[in-house]
Amino acid sequence: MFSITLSLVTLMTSCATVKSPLSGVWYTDVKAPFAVTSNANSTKVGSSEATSILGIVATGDAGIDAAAKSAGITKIHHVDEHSTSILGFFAKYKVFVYGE
Amino acid sequence: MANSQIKMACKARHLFIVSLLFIASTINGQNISKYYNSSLQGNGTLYFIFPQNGFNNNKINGKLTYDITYLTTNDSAILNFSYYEKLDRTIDSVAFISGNQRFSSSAKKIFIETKKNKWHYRYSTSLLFKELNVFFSATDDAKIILYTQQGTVELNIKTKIWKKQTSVTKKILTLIKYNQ
Repeated sequence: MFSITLSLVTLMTSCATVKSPLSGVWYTDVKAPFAVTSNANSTKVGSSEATSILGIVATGDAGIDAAAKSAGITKIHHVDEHSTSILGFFAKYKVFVYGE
Repeated sequence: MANSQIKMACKARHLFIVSLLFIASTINGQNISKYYNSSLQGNGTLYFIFPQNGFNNNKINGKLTYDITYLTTNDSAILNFSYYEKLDRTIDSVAFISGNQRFSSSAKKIFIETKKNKWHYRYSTSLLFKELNVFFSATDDAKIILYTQQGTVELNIKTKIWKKQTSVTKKILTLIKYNQ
């Protein structure tokens, strides 16, 4: 019974993966560029995110549109992404939109 | 058979302890870098304090999350907030109260949507950077009051959550002041 539980837990870890240019098996906390436009200066920032638990349940809207909309941004200057994951149990993907 | 199970249990226990130590080392209450972003602009530095929640009204099952954007060359900071409730409302203004300090500001609609069985009201308001500092410096319990055409909505926050939010946000605001 213990072996089965251990196997299940082992199987379940590392399931919650996240999009990232670099990733760690145990821990990931990476910020990276996503996109840049020719628009000048930013005065507003909007964010959006999606999360995954054990790779079983994944929810959220980490879209550029959702992030821009949350701050009322109509002209996008640049977009960054931030990926976090802990032991494959929990993963979060955030998008930050800068603009005006 | 029993021997191998004991060995496996020991290995699993070691892995569990190492994992806990690793998680404990990464979860540091004063590590503020995971609570904000900064971006260098032509006209100053743009700071974004990530969305925070905890303000609720349990009677009407309303909850509020807010984020803060501040450009160092401006006097005021933008405070965008999302308010979720079943009733449909028109928000006119918002008041931030902590201790005996009270700051009011008009609220500008960004959008209104539905989320599951609730309304999602997304509004924007602004506060002077000085006022923001005072609001997050108070150690007393804080509350946010929404003034709507359908009546006022009082949102409270648990003391433990508020203490953590003020400690993090105050530190970020101090960092901004040093870099101005």
